[in-house]
Amino acid sequence: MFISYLQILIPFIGLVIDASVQMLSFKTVARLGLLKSEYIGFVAGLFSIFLIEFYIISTTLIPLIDVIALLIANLITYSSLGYCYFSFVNLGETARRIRILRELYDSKEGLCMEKILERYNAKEIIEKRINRLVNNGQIIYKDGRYYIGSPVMLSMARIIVIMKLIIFGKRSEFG
Amino acid sequence: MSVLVYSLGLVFIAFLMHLFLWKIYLPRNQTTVLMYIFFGTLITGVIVLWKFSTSLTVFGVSAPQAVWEYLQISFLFVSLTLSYISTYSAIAADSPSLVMIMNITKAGVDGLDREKLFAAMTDDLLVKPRIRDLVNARMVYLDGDKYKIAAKSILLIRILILYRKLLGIPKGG
Repeated sequence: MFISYLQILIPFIGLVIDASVQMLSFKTVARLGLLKSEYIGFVAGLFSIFLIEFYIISTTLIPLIDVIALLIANLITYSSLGYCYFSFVNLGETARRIRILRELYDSKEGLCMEKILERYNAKEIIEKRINRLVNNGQIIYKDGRYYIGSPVMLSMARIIVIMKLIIFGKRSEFG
Repeated sequence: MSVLVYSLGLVFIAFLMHLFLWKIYLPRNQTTVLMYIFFGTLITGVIVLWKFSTSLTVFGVSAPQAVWEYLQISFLFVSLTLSYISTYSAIAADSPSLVMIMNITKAGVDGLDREKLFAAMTDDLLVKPRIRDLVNARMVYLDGDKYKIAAKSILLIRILILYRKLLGIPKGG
């Protein structure tokens, strides 16, 4: 019975380890960067899950097929929770809606459209993203022109366009 | 095995219902409707499984019997639902980075001129639609000509500010 309930808790233990290692590594390792700290945290959580599962397998007599099924279920749950944590961290980093909310939160009297655009606008959005993409090697800047540097972001963009087509039947929110 | 089969089965049913509904009607507050669909499917599914647990078999796999199995099904379902909902906003709204990547790809081997890249992406495309989303989701409201943050958004923003202060990260966006 204890082992069964421990199985339920494993993904959450993994998530706590993921978040702790991510925050600790980001705070202590200089120049690590947010993204790399997220990867390290995720791998640490994953490692802890395998350790606990190994302990369970070595101390109980659960049939192998059930052990594999529970391991897969826990890995899916942990990966999903880890992805949610990743999204939460990046929410404050890249989400436009969160940035707008933050500007409104800082202005107790509220802001008209012009004031919002003074504080946060397309130019700032593009410059931040261009710098990130160039620094990550996803795009290359040469002689005033941009070129694709790595196919990773392009593949992601194509997957998202396919999902847009499946869900909304169009390639872009603007038709 | 039953945990895996029945939780993934319930997620699949919820996703099909969501796709079907979106084909006939696109709700104004999409995230809230998604939550209703997914959590409604989970609650209904668990009740049905519990009621027919002794007789139900899918692909040769019997319905779950123990309480811990239902808990594990619920956690797996909820974690997948939350990750889908967090991805959904990135699918529904055009991400500036992905639009830039697609524009640069379209430009081909000649590359895309910096001025053209900036000219193609305006406040009307990048900022104003997101303000409209916030108003539609009632996270922001209009008071005269001023936009103000709604009470339900304040907790979210405070949590994010606290987290970023803990890590020493400045404003993002």
